[in-house]
Amino acid sequence: MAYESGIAADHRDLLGRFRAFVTGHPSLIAAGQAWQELRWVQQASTQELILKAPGLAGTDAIYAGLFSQETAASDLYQWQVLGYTGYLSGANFTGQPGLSPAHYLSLWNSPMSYWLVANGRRAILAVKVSSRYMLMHLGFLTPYATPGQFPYPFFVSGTDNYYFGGRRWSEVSTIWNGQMRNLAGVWATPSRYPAGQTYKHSPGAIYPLTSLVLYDATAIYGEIDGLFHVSGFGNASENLVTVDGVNHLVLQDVASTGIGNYVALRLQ
Amino acid sequence: MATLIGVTGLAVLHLAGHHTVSANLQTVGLAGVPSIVGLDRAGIRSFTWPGVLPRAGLTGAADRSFRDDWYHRIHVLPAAIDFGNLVSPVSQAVEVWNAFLSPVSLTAIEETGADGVSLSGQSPPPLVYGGLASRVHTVAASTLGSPVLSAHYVLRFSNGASSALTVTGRRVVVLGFAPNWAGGITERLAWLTDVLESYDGSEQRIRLRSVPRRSFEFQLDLAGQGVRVLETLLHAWGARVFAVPVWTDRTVLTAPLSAGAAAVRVSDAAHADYHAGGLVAFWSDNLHHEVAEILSLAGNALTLKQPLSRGWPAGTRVFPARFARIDGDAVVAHPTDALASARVRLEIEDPSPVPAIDGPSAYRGYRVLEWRPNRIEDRTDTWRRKLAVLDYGTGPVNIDDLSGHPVVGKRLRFTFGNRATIQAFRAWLHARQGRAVPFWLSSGQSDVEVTRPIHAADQHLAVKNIGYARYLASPTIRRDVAIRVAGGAVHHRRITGATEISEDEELLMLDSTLGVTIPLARVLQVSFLDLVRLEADAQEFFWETDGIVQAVLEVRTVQE
Repeated sequence: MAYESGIAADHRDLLGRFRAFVTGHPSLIAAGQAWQELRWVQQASTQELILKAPGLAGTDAIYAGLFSQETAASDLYQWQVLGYTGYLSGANFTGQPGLSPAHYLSLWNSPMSYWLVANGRRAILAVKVSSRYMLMHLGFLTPYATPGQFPYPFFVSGTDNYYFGGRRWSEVSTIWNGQMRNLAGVWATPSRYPAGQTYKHSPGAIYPLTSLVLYDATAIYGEIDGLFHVSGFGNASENLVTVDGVNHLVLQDVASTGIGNYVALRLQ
Repeated sequence: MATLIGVTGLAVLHLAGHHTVSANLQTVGLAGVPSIVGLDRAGIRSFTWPGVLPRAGLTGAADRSFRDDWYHRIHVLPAAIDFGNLVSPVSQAVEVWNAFLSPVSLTAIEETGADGVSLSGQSPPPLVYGGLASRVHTVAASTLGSPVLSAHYVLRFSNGASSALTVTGRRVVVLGFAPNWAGGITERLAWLTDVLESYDGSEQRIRLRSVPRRSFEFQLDLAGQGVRVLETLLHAWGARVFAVPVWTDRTVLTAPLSAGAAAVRVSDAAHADYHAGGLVAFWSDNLHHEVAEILSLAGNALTLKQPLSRGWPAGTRVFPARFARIDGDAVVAHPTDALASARVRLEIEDPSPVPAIDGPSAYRGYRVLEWRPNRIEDRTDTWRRKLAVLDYGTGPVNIDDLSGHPVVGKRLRFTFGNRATIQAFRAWLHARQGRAVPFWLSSGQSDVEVTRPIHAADQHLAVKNIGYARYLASPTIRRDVAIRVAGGAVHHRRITGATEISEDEELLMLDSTLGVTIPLARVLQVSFLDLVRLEADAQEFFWETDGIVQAVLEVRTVQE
């Protein structure tokens, strides 16, 4: 699906680029998977964006919200990242139906390299802040269930679940702060597999890309589409791993560079 | 080699731990690094360094996971439908899910054996399914068509994928010819018990069937069109399952039912064979009837699974119905060329367990039979002994009494005149489980005559001498008595011994006192109690009308 990489001037510019990409990228429009913008409000220090993704067949209604805020005095520049189950035009950003717990993406107000992958079901954004790599997931998993059995497998993930103002980009320790709407319709924190496994590449220096499976004590929910665990052995962030001609971008877990701390993002 | 182009006025840039480069650069190029840009977008502080880090091209391989089994195919849910026994048109939703992440097009639906089965609910092919989209189709089966439903559908898609759907079931025809009540209806309940008898006559009884088999036998007297329809059914459907009204459990509609109704009121459902998941038959005559499935039952109110296809006027008879097959030969006699008289036995396919409810009074771990047999015919008892006879035909005959006590067979006839008692008798029979569970049976006679009043502390009975002390002095058989007292009380006691007082009187010792004083005038009857079991596993109800049942129980004594 659609993919873009580039450099955003700051966190506000990045949100603008995200918005332009998911609502207007030609390949998304051609496939009927462009996201619909339900709200876009820019203030002096905030931006508010609410989107509705159509799914792959154009029949889903996947609601997501992004809100950028800054406290320049504390050098805090963050996005708030939310999943919803519906949209009320009269309600404010945190008053929408089926609101997920708040998640944040810690950024700065300087230029950042970013990689953005999206289709009609979900968007994944990787951002390089200084030498740290941040990751955001917004949208549906590929669940191990039919749409009838698991109609709203939303997984929202940022780098932080602290209140705005809690963490500067340099204090973030992991990209794995996510929650999903489980089978009972409750936002819950799943575990993932693999997590921190420290295997090498296979003979011939071939790197297996392992699916990231989300589970908890009640269910194995499914996989994150387009994001894989990859060995950090002899590997480094921004390396490209090619599988069947498709590039996968290697990313470290914020600042951690142990063998088990890497993921690969499919750039397609 | 690296190519560095400088720009003035910028701070020092730390590329990585071991590289320190003056940041007053506009473009940085390093050998082996594909794309390196240092650019100045919005002034001197916005210098960035994408791609400055070494970037390597590695080879990877995708894993295999459950994702590959679950996605990238077409799911048909459910892929197999079994409609079971079809008595009315049925339908079921089938979800077809495109588990490919990209759109595919349904190009064709191939069907085989779809006789009376249809797949509908969506536009005909070609039909586009978006990525991960699902559509609900409807499979419907009508009652018209071949006896056995066996439809197979293959859904073919533009990317070469295909998925299959199988529909199975059996069509059921109503055998709606009413019996001729002149001959009554015989209902037969057949349990199965393995009885292992030992040398001394004691026995072990093993229950082999948890639910009895059930059958009905009756006579059909038909004329004209009824004969023709019956013979057509016997030709086409003779070995198959019929839906047969349970003719003994009749209700009459008090108010008309219109087509589309899904609720019916019957009378006395508690004593009839209605049950959730079962059938109900509406019957106006031999050729006009309908069977519907019962979804649920609350008191006398039945809720149907499907609405009725036609209306029924007040006065229509309503019966519970059962799936049944014709058991053995159907014998049809033709008195004239337009009349037929058939005797059929119908073996029920779906016997439902009736709750086993026993009588209220118990004695020494077994229940006591409460109903008293009638005397329409003589009550006959048979004494049998287990004898080993040694007879060579030339000398005296040697006889050995193996068990030392007789086995007494009794034949009891009962008549039940209301539905509640019939149902209670049925529940009591279920508690007997054929030959498996014994019970106490009073002889129903005045076996000993009490000669003196019984005091509360007496642990004996003074009775007229019947030779008990003489012949049964240390009793192992015939040692339990039921003492019936005016007012309805019955005392069950065991005789532990006997003493002759005089030529006319003897004392029977009891295992405990009665605890009440009973004047002589109030003692109605003292009968011996026998522990008995049914002689046969199969028991018959002879229905004279739908409210009167005759039943014959043959029982035999067993050791405790």
